[in-house]
Order: sequence, then C-alpha cells, then structure tokens
Amino acid sequence: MTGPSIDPPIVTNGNLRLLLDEDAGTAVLRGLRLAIPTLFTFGSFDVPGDAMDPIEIELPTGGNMYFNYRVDLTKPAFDFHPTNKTIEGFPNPFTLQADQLGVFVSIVVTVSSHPIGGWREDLIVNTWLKGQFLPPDDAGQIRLRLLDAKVRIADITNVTVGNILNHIVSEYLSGSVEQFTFPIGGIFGGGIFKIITRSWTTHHDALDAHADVA
Amino acid sequence: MKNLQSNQILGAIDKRTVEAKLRPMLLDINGDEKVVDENRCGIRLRAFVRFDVTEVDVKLQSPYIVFDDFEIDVWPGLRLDIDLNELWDCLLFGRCYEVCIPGTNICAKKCFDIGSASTGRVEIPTPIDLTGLYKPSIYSKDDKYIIYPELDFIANPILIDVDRMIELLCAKLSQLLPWPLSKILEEICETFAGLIDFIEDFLSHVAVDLAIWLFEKTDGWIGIKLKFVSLYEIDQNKFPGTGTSPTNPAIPVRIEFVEKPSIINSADELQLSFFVYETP
Repeated sequence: MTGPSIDPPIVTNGNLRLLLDEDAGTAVLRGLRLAIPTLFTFGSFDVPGDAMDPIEIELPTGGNMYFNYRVDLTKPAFDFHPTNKTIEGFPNPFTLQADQLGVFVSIVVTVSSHPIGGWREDLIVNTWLKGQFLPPDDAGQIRLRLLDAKVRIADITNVTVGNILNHIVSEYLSGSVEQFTFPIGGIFGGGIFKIITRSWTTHHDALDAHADVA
Repeated sequence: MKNLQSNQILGAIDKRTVEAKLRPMLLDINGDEKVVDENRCGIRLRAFVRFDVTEVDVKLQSPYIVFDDFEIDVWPGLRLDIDLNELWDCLLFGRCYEVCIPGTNICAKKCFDIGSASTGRVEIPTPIDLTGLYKPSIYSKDDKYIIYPELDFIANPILIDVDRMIELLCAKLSQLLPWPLSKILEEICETFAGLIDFIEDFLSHVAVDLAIWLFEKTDGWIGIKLKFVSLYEIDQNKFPGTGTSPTNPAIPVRIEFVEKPSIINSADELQLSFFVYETP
C-alpha cells in the first residue's frame, strides 16, 4: 500500500490539510465501539444500556412463542479508495469512487430461548457496507451516508438467500443509522484552532480533507 | 518521495495562520509551577517558578520557531517550613531530659517544645528576554505528549546569581530560627562549610537544581528549556478532540509519535503527524 505523498508543501487548498490512513480510521472506529457500546450492541439480553423486548411470534395453533436475540457489530474497519481490503476472508466487493468508502463489520446475531438458559444459536454475518461522503454540516464535520450492503455467511452459499439477506441488512442499517458524523474536525482543535472542513476525498487508502481555520 | 504510512494521521497548517494564532496564545501564558519539594531534618524546602509572558513577536522558519521578541517575567521563589523540634533533635542535643525522684526508679521524660517556623514565599523577580531560535520538541508527561519550544540559540546572555539566591534564603532563615540554631546556620551560610554538611549540600543542591531547571549554563550563556510553555498537548490514550462533553465521549486509542518529528516542515508549515492504533 502506498499512501498519498506527504512532501511539503502539504497545504494546497484552504489553510489546513488532514490526511488519515484507513487503518488509523479503523483504530478510531474500534475505539468508538468501546466508547459508545450501545451503538454497536443491542437486543433483549446481555446488552449495554436498556434491553429490548424479546421477539414475539403468534403460533398457528394459538398462543405465542418468545425468542431472545442479541446483535453485536464487531471488528469494524474501513477501506478507502482504492478497494483493496480483505477482512475475515471477505474481500470488499464494492468498487469505490473517490467520494465513497467501505466499512466492514462482522455482525454476530445470537438467538436464544426465552427465558434465557435453554437453547442458543449464534450466526456470524460478515458485512461490507458502501458509504458516501456528504456535504459538511454547519460545524464543518464530515458526514457519511450508507448506500449498499453485501453479506457473507459461512454456511449459506445459496445466491438467492444471500441476496435476500443483503436486502434485509441494507434496509435495516440505512433505516436505523442513516448518517454518521466522523470526528476528525477536532484533531487540531485543542482550544487553539476551530476547523471548518472545506472538501475531502479518498485516494491511496487515505481520507484527504482540506479545511479553513476560523 | 515520502508517503503516508499505515495507521498514520498527518495534519498541516500554513505558516500565516499559525503565526496569527501563536502570538495571542503565547501572550496568554502565565503560571506557577512547583520545581522542588524536599524534606530533611525537619526542614521542608519548596521551590517555585511564577512566570508571565509579556511580549512576543514570532514567525515560522523551518525548522525553527523564530522569536524576534520573547520576554517573560519570571519570579523564582523559595519557601521553607521548619519543624524546629525535629531540626533541634537532628543538629543538637539536650531538648529532652529525664527527671527522677531520688531513691526511687520513678522517672519522667520531658521535652522542650520549640514549635515551628516558616519563611513564607521568598521571590526574586527576574525579567528575562528569550529572543532567539527554538525548535519545537515533544516530551511525554502524565500520559500526554506535549509540544514545547526548545531553545537552539538565544540572542542575549542571561545571568543568574546562584550565590545571591542562597544568601537571601540564609538571611531569611537566620531571622526565623532561635538561638542556637540561628547561630549554626549563620556560620554555615557565611562559609558554606561547617559541622552540618547536609544543610550546605541541601541548600546548594536545591538552588543549583532550580537554576538548572530554569537555565542551562554554557560558557557564561544561559539557555532554557521552556517545558512549561506548552504549545499543544495530545493525550496518549484517546483520539484528539474527543472526550470534551457527554455528547462527545473520549474514544480510546493508542497514540504514538515518531522519534524527533519535524514539526516546522521545509515549506514553513506547522506539521503534526502521529500514529493511531487500537487500544490494547
């Protein structure tokens, strides 16, 4: 991997420039998972924060059946343009443009009896998401929008079933987490500089942002 | 050609923007730092440095931050707090005595209580002109990386009279201490030799340490490590800019700097580069 050139002069647009390697972004994303665990783990048992209600299914014979569930988004990672990351044996299936990025996450779905203590099944859904950078918000922070998702489950090779799961994951994620705000605006803050992001792109496996210092 | 490496973040700000921000930031710097805190034989000696930046004219010129003017008012200060009972027991004898009833084995121990004394804070105002060339350097303290200007060349020699500082301190001590302690300390301060070697070493050690902390003596010139002038701080264990409020929680990561980073690059930009890894 060859990152963007860092030979001076580095600032070529505005008065500040920030380069962030995709692996540095991955470290931040995994730190975010530790800082806000409720963002990455939810369900009806063994979760940080408030637990949700168990899934209720009406039986044809009458009565209801309940299942407990837990969803844990693990091992998040970035892939910036160009597409070249393989994680957990799953290469990034998207062709990324300069204003897009890939996000990998290994979704561990646990389904269990209700009450807890009976049977339990885990399913690992390795997922690549395609995101797009959006125009900056009023605070000059970089925002992302999810565009697409592709999943791979080890025990499922049927293409039709795979496509259905792709659709479910994409619908769920785009509906529940439509926009992320990435906290790079504060890097040079430190009480000295206030930063307004002007433009950004990805190239050579890095995020490249130009900004003005207020 | 150098390229961004894995896990690396690099930020750069152009020269004019840095210069415009740096001057008011430096003028705002003032503080009060404790340099030394030692306790022997009932004498607790604390040394402080109070400082206030009064004039700044600064520009970036690779690899230096150039100060065409940089004046700081500095007040090195010393304070002694003395447990006189402990000092007497350490230097002399006879504070305590035993009285017995004749013909019996009934005895009682009695000690004179001399009490305690304090000099308060004795300051020696020392205006300093630090015009010269400084290279930004990084050091690590309390889980933070701190960037400060390290002196490379200074325009005007600065002299500090170490003997004068010790003389002032000894004069204050001799006013406070009762006889015969005051008599002993007077002799020591006059000759810097005497029966009680540790006090001479103690005072000399503290005063010289204070001078070295503020200045480095080189052939009559005095240089300075301005570690108390913090230009920028980065926490080693969280992503910069996070942890500022409940809605912006600290994101745990591990930050590492390369050794001897170039902070003013060849295009006179302020350049900051570090590596970000997952927290272990």
